Amino acid sequence: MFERFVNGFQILVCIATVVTVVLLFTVPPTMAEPPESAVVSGADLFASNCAGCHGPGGEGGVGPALAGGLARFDSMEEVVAFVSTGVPGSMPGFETRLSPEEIEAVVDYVWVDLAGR
Amino acid sequence: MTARSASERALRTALLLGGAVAIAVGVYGSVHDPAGQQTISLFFSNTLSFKAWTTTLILFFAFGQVYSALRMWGKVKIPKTMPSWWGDLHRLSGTLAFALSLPVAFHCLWALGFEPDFTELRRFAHSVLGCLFYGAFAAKVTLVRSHDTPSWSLPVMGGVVFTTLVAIWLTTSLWFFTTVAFPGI
Repeated sequence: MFERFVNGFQILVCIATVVTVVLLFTVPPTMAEPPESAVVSGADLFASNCAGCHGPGGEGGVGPALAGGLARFDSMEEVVAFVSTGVPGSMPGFETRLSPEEIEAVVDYVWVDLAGR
Repeated sequence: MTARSASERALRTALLLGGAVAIAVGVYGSVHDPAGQQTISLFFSNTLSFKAWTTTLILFFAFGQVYSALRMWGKVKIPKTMPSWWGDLHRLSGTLAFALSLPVAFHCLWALGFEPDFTELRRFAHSVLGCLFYGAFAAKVTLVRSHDTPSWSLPVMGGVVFTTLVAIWLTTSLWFFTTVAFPGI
């Protein structure tokens, strides 16, 4: 009985493995759709695009901490350029995923609210 | 074909398959444009917390794997009489650990990708270890299914899988708990 359960479970995991591999090749990066009548806040854009790596409050995670940081940048324009192009193999560029206005909004949020600049 | 050459061939096949899996994972992580977004987080506040705790749970199952294997190979004596379901329990803990690794690996590969810069030592080591883990796991599963391989090969490959997993936990979960947040849920 237990053996049959384990066998069945292993078959399910095999299917899950195949599904995972298929998803790796088929799921596109979620594009942030600009709403028609509302301006998306920098905080919302940060939550959906940046928090996955930099932490929900910019405290850091896979990517470096942003809260109280950004010392390497002298201006918001530099951060906008950095976020737009990204770093190959490390951080994705967002110029193909967010509009220039959205990038400015999220950088403004990071620069003012998180980094306190 | 002699028994020895058949044994070497089976071992070579398992290692080649494992190597191919490790390389395939690494190539995908390198060429795929990282999405940089959160995926599954269940009841955790974000995906990183989910991954840190899930990897810890995987490590728990991996310890169960090692102990149940040690009992099957007679290296430990508890329980004194091995129950008939012991082997199935070993398979179940290994399957659970692998199943739990799938959403974690998905986020690593799809959202973050392979870190090629070895000056980013933790991320570089974690990327290499992740590839090595799935390669070693594939080789181990192949060895389990083959009855021709040398008797030492299965425990050695199981040891590689376990050691790699411990190193993965050290470079992610422990790092997360000590530098980002604990419990960080």
